[in-house]
Amino acid sequence: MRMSEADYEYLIHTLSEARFRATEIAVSVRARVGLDHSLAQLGSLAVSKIDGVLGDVRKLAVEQEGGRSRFIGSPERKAALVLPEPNPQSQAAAFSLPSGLGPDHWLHGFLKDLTGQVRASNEITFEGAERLLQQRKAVFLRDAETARRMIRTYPQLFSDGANQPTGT
Amino acid sequence: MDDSVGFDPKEFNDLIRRASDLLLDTMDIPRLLRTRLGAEHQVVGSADEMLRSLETFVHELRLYHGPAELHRMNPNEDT
Repeated sequence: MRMSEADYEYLIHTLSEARFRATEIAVSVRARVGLDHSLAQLGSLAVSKIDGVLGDVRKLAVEQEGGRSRFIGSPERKAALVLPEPNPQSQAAAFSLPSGLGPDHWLHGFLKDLTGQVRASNEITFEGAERLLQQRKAVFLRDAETARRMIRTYPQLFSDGANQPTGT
Repeated sequence: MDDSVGFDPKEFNDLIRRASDLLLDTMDIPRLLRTRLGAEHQVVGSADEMLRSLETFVHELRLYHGPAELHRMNPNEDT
């Protein structure tokens, strides 16, 4: 039995899409539960399994075409990015942001999400980066709104006289 | 790792929905490969594993979020 050209097109397109979507979901989950949580690991595993099948299907397509596949130049195929293993210390050094931007600044979270996505999928796209930035913006705006509501509801906590230690 | 941005139930529901959609969209890949290449082919095994991995991911996402969401929807229920 042989696969048709339409089969390969369908499989490569669907698997490329699936890999991208799974990576986005895995990165979002990881940002919420933490890198070491089993959910984060399950997400990464799912991405790598999809990636494995995609690679196998591409290999089959190449073999069937006698060593040169018409699918190699498809838009989904991207240059592999080789990144070092995650290392919090070296990451901190690589992203030495201006001193005015504290560790709670949204830019740190965005860069962490972005590098996490690149590590999980071994590729980077403008669309993926834009989506992550949009997510960060949504979280930032929501947090800002929560802070505003806190100030309106409990103004005494934020007045100059309320310099009680918070323990953090 | 303490960079959590909190658990917005809506956001998590959206993640579960997207993961479930992804599972549905990839569900027929192993079947197609099995039909074309035969059940013994190595790619079919990889595709089955891929699907199982996605199923586990979606299942665990639901399990993780389920109790919190149930409580949010029925805050007065004690049981």
